[in-house]
Amino acid sequence: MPPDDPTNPKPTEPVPAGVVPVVSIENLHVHYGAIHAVRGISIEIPPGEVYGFIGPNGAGKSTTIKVLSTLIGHFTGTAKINGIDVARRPQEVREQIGYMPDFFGVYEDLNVREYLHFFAAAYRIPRKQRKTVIDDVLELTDLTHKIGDQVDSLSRGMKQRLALARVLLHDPQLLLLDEPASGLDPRARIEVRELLKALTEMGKTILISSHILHELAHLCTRIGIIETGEMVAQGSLQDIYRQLQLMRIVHVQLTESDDGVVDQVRKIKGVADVEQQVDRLAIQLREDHAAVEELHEALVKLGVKIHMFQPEAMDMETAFMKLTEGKTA
Amino acid sequence: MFRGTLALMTRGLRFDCRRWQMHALRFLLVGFFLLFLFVAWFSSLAALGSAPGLNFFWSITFTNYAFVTLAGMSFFTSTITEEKEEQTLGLLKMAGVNPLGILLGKLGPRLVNALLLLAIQFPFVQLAVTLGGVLHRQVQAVYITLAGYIVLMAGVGLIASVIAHHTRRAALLVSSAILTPLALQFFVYGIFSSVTFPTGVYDTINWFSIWSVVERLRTVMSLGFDGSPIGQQFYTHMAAGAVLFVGSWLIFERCTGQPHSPTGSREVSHNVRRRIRFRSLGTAMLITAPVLLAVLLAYSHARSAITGIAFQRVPTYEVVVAVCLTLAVGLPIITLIVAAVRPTAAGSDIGECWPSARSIVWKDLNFVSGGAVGMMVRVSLYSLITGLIAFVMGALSGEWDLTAQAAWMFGVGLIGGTMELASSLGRSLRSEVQSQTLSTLTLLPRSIRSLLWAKVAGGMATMIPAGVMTLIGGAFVFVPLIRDIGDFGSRESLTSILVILMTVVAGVLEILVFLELTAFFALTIRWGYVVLALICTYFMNTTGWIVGTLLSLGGLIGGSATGGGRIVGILAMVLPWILAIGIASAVVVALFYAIESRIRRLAGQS
Repeated sequence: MPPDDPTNPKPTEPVPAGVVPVVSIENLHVHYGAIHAVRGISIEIPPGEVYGFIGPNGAGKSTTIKVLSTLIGHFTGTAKINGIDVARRPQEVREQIGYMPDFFGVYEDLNVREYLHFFAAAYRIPRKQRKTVIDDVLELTDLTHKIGDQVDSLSRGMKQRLALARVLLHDPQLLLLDEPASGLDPRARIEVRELLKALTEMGKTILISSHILHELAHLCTRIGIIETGEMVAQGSLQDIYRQLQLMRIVHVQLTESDDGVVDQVRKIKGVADVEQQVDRLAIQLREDHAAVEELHEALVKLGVKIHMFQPEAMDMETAFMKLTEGKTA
Repeated sequence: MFRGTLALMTRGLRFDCRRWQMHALRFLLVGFFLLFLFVAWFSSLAALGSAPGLNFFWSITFTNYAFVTLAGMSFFTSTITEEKEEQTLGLLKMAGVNPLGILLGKLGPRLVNALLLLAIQFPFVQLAVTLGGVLHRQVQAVYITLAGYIVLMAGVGLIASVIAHHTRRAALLVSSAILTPLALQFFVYGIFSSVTFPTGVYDTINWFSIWSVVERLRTVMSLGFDGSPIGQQFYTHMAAGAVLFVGSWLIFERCTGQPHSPTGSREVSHNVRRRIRFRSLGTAMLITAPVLLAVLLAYSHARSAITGIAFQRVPTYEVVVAVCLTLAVGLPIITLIVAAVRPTAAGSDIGECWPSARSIVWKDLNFVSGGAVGMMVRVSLYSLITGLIAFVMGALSGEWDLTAQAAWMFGVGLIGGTMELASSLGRSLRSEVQSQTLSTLTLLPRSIRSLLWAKVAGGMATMIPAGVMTLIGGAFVFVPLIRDIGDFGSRESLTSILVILMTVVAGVLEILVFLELTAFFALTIRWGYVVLALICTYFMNTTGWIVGTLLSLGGLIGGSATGGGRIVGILAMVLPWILAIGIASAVVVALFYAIESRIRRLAGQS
């Protein structure tokens, strides 16, 4: 099959030779009774990458993440973390991962300090180092001022950050985050996104699933789109657009836009089509042929006066809608 | 109003029909009846006892009584709390169902289910009449008595469910409401058996006894009963049930009008916990020990001085009572003083978390079992009970002796400790399921088995006071018992030791089965897991006891018929125990794997 065929979603940037991928899934199948939840998914994530997992509800994202986090043991295929088999050596895997479920619980009778001390002790962090580690993760998650508060009294966004702080306690190399921003207000969502960016800068490998597609677009180096348990597209954002032959729409208002000008615009390199609307031109641009800046430059060279030049945001939702049909496994 | 009520009732009945627990309960009840019928049949065949029908009916009646009492503590207590826990009570109100409609619609299906469970037995129980020893009138009277009792239990459960925010709290309220009169009844009987009171006191007690189901059942089952099938107890229970229902209706809005915010109460409990720590409790205990010694000496001297009795001849029970009461009252006071004096270290509310797997023990001990405050209350409570036992036996019946006191302490400590452990273990696992923390917990770098053991250890730490009581009692009971066995080399002694050992092993296994059943049910059902485990253990125990007795009897009869003599007798005695230990061990292992698998499954789902 051709490489840009979306039905053949092979990793477009394979892990370089000699580098052990942090996550390696091959032909993963998971059944829940009669339901075939995951059907032959294969993923490889090299160190330091942020991999976004997108799909409608019931697509198999959480199941795949749960397999990696050792919570689901009944599956076929192979799943490895840093080369360690998840099914065979789950306890070793647990030392290397930090998993945050989509709906996580917290011990509400404890306060923030007690909560983190409990998990730090459970992760065998030496008593002398515990305070420093806890202070560090609290600072990172901006919860230092909440250290004495009861977990029960925290807002959802803060609980989310506390869960992230807990996940970071034992300094795992891989973070498995199942919809970490779900149910958060815009401010809290931005805060979580900033936090994830900081973690990326710290060199953590992150596998994140989300419904907030734009967030993944900003954050992830690669994306996998999953539906009914099957991977329908995988690669960088640009790869996926290319695979789908999605074109960027640029809205342009010219002081003069007669038919002659429109014909000239159509001839610009990378322009696939131009639609004349009431007050503007909608230019479909093949970004793999020409960048938006090149289009702007070409328009200026045509000698027309540009009143408005507005590239439409690359819409992951469009890609998502095009690739998926909303089916569940 | 009635449309909403009917909708709720239909939903409730449908829901109960779909729940496997209800069918399991019915199945258990049928199992009991079949077992009792089998025993009655065997007894009549072997010509054991004079009235197999009466024995059969007694067993069924007692089982029904136990079932209804346990239902009151669990089945009825979730009537309204389940809506509160699911936060659907507001939706029901918004749908236009008024409080009366909600109460009727929610209680109705449960009451119908409970009464049906009783009604379907009625035709089968007529067999007791056929077997002999029971009259139709007695059967009718017993079932009417139990029906009245169900209505009372439903009322008690309902009002507790309206008042409490959680089923657990409601169950605690009902358990206290049921067990307190039972305990009082027990002490009152103890007092009346040995002390003579004026007639007026007896009249008052008799008036109160019309409330007692046990009294009514005893009257009905007495030989030659020819009273009315409907006794005063039925009317009083029906009236009380109705009053409690009306009471629930009246307080419904007040209790459910505002959404429950646990933060405030948690803040209070957190502050108390912060002040009273294990360190304070330990210091208080160290201070209390010499205080107890001082009380012991002071009391003996004061008693001698006042009464002129020699210091050495002061009754021992009085010293026991004095010491126990001092401990029960003194320990909390001294702990509070120590906690107030000792400054709280900044940055460490309840002390450092214990490392590694012990961190789970630390969490469960402090946050599930009440921490140092819970421990203090337990020490006080068990001291109080020990003192009360000594007081009742010594001051009231005048028959105090060390062995009897020790036997009581052993029994109360063992039962109390087991129930505490079961409750703590169940609560700990249930809270992990409810707060969806099982996945987080199982992701800790250790096996599920070790997590489970840590939870057990966390629960065991709570039963230290009960354990100490059991050990002290056990030492004074078993050491003389073993000494009485005499020559260890003789065949009789060996048989006795063997039987004692096997009894202990079987007892321990039975406790383990109960604990594992509690853990399994806590991971499976939302409420009533301890009660259900208790019923299942009781069923297993009764079955084992009956089968064991039958085997022994069969062995003895067979042995004497074939002239097998002494060896057959010993075998007949030992074989049922070996069988019981084997089966119980298999159940313990199977349940352990079932719990492990259940945790893994729930962690994957959450």
